[in-house]
Amino acid sequence: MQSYLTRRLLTLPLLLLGISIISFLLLNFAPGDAAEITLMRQNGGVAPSHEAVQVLRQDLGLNDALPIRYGRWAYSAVRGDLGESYRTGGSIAAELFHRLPATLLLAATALALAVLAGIPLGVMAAVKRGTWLDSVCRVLALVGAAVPNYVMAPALMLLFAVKLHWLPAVGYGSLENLILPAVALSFGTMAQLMRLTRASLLEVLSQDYMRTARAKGLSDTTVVWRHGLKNALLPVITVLGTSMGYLLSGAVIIETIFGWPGIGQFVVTGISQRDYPVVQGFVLYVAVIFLFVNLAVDVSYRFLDPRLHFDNQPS
Amino acid sequence: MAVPTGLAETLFKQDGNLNTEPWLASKAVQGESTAWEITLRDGVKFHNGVSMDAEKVKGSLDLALLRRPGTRVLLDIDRIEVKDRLTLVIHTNSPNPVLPGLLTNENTSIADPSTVPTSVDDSAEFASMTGPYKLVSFSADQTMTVVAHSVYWQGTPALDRIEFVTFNQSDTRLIALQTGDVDIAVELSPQGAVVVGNDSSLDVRTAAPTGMLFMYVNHESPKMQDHLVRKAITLAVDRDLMASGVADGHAFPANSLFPPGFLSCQNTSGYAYDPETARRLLAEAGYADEDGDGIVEKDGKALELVLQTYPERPLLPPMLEAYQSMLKDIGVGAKVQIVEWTLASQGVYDLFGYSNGTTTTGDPGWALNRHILTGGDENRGNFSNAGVDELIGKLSSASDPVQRQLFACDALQAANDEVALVPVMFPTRLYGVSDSVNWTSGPQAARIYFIDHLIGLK
Repeated sequence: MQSYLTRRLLTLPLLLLGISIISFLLLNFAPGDAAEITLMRQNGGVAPSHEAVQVLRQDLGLNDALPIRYGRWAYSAVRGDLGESYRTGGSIAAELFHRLPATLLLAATALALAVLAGIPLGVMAAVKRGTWLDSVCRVLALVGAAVPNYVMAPALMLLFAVKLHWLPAVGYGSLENLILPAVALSFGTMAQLMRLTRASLLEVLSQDYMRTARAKGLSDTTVVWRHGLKNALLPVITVLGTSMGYLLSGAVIIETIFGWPGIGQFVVTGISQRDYPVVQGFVLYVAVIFLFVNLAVDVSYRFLDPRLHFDNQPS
Repeated sequence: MAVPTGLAETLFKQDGNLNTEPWLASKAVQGESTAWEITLRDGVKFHNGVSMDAEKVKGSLDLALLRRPGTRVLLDIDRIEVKDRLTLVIHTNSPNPVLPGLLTNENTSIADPSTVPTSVDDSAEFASMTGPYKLVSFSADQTMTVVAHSVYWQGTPALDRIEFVTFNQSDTRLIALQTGDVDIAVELSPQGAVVVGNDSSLDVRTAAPTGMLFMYVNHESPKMQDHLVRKAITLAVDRDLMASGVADGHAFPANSLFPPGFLSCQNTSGYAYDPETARRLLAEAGYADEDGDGIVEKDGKALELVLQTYPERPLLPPMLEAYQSMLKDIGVGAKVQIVEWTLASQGVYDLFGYSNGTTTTGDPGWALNRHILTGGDENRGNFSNAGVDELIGKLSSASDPVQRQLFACDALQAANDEVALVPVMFPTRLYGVSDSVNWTSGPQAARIYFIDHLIGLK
């Protein structure tokens, strides 16, 4: 286990290096000139002169060769400095760090909602297979998978804020403000967890050892929740792990719609304004999250299913 | 954003007719052709309580030139000289009859230079300016809070505090207005304006257009070389339908480069909707639909155009789709592509849908120089015509306002004759306002003015 962990941790820097080079190249080949866009914004929407664009390109180092620009960025990044935003002039690392709590709060709440609703509903749908409850859950799962969160979000706003006046549409700082964005963000993941839990549990419930458990006289509740669910959770945990990464990065769209003060608005504006350092910093942030979440998921398998082992020696 | 949010002011501003008028300055006189003597208003105080004088204004403008390369090129100032406490002389590198108009640019807003960092790496957001409100807190792309500047030179501001909140999505701005989370929502979509108009507690306020939606013609594209083809695709645009349909009535048809009323002559030189003549011009140019597929051909090659635009201006993509259909009506095929706006300079299109201000300085020479003149900064389709350049040159060197109008009209007519670009419509700016807001002073004609000391609550 220890050598497995060491091996995985040692590959992380290499993976990050690869991801950062690819994203740097992609951004570089994307159309659009950061200097021109920056000046246009500074000039209040008025296009800058060719001369001004050239001066700023020089100032920003955009005329340097690609490897030099990448090397400069990577050297700073390993020291924790992701550079400065072309747009605001502020430190990107500081900006991401400042906005991260709001994004984490939203993503964690959405994940909690998805788990607390998705897994029990999936279990109920499996146990009550073929009943109206199962049908409702399956329709819900279908809607959750089919309706993107950028459609769900305005729909929730219109219903609960504009029509019913139950919840605020926008804002930050109170529990009420959190409900709509968290529900909108969690809906897709909740549906996915529900579907997966149902399918996985149905498979487990049909196994011989489950029949044995029932034959021993255990109650249905014990059979399903203690023996069935534990065995059915392995694929669910895998999805949960990737969902955390998607929720943290996918919160970007929801944050933009609800005006949530996380990294979302910062990144979306950064992308549309060709603020390369911001986009590059965000890609690195998402990559780090995904790598560590994947590692945590892999390690959790060891505890959930003792049959799995990572090292060559027998466990 | 310091001027629209009531934090900063410039030496000059644009009035309701987009003409230049003094603001922090009280007078401007052009002595020599390269020197403007500017008299400042007395009694203006910065947010830190310090009085504004010529030394402070010189320092502020010098810093603006140092910190912003775009402003340096725009103003082309040689040096600024302080004559006395309230008078300074601005020397330009070349004759500049419209310097006061250029000094309406918000990057020339006046701040106490001792509060502005000299390094371009440091933010100047907390500089002491002169507007009716002063900054309390600021978070980029999120929120900004301002409070009243109690010794503001035009009187006490009507509000104690204003909070600005950023919502990138126009639908979110609309919903925030409907739920009462905000009192004013800016930049509503035409569809959003319909929703606001149907709500008795809300009001739609419309500001005159300052920007234009138009098509750059790629003058280096082989298909666009024939003047008759350019003329035909211009006559194919039903601008009334664009304004009433695509913009839901929240736009004026654009027959030329400038919005109605900006130049006395512009209506006579504009384009009309005339598909019959457009078809005839294409036939004259040698195009005919020989294979009966509805698209004209010449030498066996169909006249298929590439139309590009960018998504940030919501009206542009539907405008191009409507234009595609209007072109089809005269037998011209078109492909619509949604791309980055900076590709407008890269010439891989025949026509590029774009949005730009043409009245920014209140002077027609500014837009003609940038959009029409050979090599102009906004001449992204590379239009070039010696006759038009000569007329714009005459305009640039003339200082008499009447003479400038005449040269501007001649240049505009010549550019229209050559179809330098294809104007489509001038969209109005839409604000959604709660009925609790008292906003008799706005919205103002120029886009850069929004919050003033009069806007308040009932």
